[in-house]
Amino acid sequence: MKNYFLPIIFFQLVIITYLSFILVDVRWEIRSSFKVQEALVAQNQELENLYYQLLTEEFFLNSPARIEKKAKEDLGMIKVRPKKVK
Amino acid sequence: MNIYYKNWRLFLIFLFLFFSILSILVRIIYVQVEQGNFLLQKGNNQNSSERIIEFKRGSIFDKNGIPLAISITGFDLFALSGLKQDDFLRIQNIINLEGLKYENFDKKSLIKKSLSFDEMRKIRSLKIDRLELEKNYKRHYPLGEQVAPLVGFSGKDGYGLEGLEKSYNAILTGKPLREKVLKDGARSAIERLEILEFGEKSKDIYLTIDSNIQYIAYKYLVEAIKNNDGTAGTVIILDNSAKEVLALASYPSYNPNNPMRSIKKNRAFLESYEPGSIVKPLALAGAIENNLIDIDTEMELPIKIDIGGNIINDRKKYGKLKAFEVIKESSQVGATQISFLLGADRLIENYKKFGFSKPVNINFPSTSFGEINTRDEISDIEIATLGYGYGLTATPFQISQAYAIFANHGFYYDFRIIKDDEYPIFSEQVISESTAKNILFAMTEVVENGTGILAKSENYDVSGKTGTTEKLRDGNYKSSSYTASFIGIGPNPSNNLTIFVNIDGLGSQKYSGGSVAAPLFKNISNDVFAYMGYFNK
Repeated sequence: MKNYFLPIIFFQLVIITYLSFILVDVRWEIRSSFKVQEALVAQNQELENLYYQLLTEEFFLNSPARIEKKAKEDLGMIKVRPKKVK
Repeated sequence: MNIYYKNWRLFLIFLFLFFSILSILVRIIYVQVEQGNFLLQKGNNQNSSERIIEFKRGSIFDKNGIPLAISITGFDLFALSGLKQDDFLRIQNIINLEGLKYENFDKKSLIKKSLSFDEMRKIRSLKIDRLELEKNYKRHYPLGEQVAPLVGFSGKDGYGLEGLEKSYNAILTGKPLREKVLKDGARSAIERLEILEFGEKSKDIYLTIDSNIQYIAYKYLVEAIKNNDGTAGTVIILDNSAKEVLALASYPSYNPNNPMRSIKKNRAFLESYEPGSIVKPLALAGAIENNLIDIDTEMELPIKIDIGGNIINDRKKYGKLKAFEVIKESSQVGATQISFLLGADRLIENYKKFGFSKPVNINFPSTSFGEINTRDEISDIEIATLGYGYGLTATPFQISQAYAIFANHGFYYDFRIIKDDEYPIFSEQVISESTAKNILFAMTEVVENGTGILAKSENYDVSGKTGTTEKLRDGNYKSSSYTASFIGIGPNPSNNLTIFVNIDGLGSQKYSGGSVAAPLFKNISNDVFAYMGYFNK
């Protein structure tokens, strides 16, 4: 039984060393994922900014105020009550 | 093991290696187990810091998803002490620092506000360690003054200070997340060590307001106030079937995007005033409900009523009028007679049933709800004036909800302004369906042949009532300042919308509800009915 003493210790050391590497690797993975998450959150906010800008632009282009102004000033249209339409 | 005893040199080497490894193991165990937490904390303290993640303030949208209040993310750039001139020039090559000259920054100094994401990335790529970027959120209100008194605004710190921004602040703000993070040499977070306080993400709010209808309401309101030399006004549009507020315009307004704004109150919820003749149909409804009168009961009207020296008269001698004609002609003498028929207690009780002097079920800061003269020994003149809208005050919103009862077959409903509000809509039958129908008939007569004829549209049939109030100042009624009101229900027969308009601060030239408020109602209702797709008559 005593003959196996050293190989067992050696084997345990190998396991510990391997687990240490695994630990470092997992930690690196966690940090990488965290960085990716941070980047994605920032990207999400950037896209949200863009979305709101486009939404506001869409609203501005469709807004009755702008259409009315264009109709009256650029196209010279006037408001006619339905009864007067022939 | 015998082999080691036979070769003592090998045995010595083995012993040396064994103790070396053992000592390393002992040290590892000591450092990991005994001192592990202490050393980890020491290391973390050098490279970790606590950070608070503020969630972006929730947005406010109209019922169609059009943004009324949104937050845009930006970055403020700060120079820290020790920033070198070379680095400053590198920054200047990327972003315009608006004439800012290099100086020895001896403390944290703001050098550029509201950087975009693109600019932020470029600055980060410079890898200058004496710089700091702080995220901020700028609130933007695309509809500006059209909805400012309703939506309100929030301050720099992201807290709602006025309007719905204030009353729904908790939902819009959420709760910030507090966490401890590990940072690398560039001071960027690389790992979350601990969550110190869980946060709650902010939520968006959808209103029942339709921004297109809001635009129509605000545009005509401002136009009418300017054309009639008024000082203020309100428009409220209610959807009677959905029990929702479609528009709520208040003038004067302000630009919420301007940091130097001067706040103006939301008159629909906050300005309680004596409504004048606009309450006459409510009093008549009470008299019909108490079986004191019918809609076509003929009433003998004297040319004037003298109550202890106070004269109540009409603009002309009517002689006999049917009850609905009292509403059509807006007769003060007729309204006085109806008040006396009801008596003080029943009259006051009737107004309360219509929601007067009771808080409205809208979450809005400092909402007013008016009052009614309920003195124990109320005089005859006070009873008389209660019948035609003096001696009681109500907000435009209360008046609108009260009139929606006629469109909703006698049922009072609490109208909502937040879409998908989790609370059920409160409803209560206040008058019978037949009484509601009779009052609507009287109101139709007002528009067809009575005081509200200028509200009559070529395109749609509507019912309505005018109101003109002399303003009370320093305890006296001034005949130089008036409020003109008109409230209408239409288009008949669906009666889906209730539209209230009023203009305040009118002079003595043109001031009546019939001549000032009724045409405003007509303009708004024509456009809103057409926008909502109601067919012409």
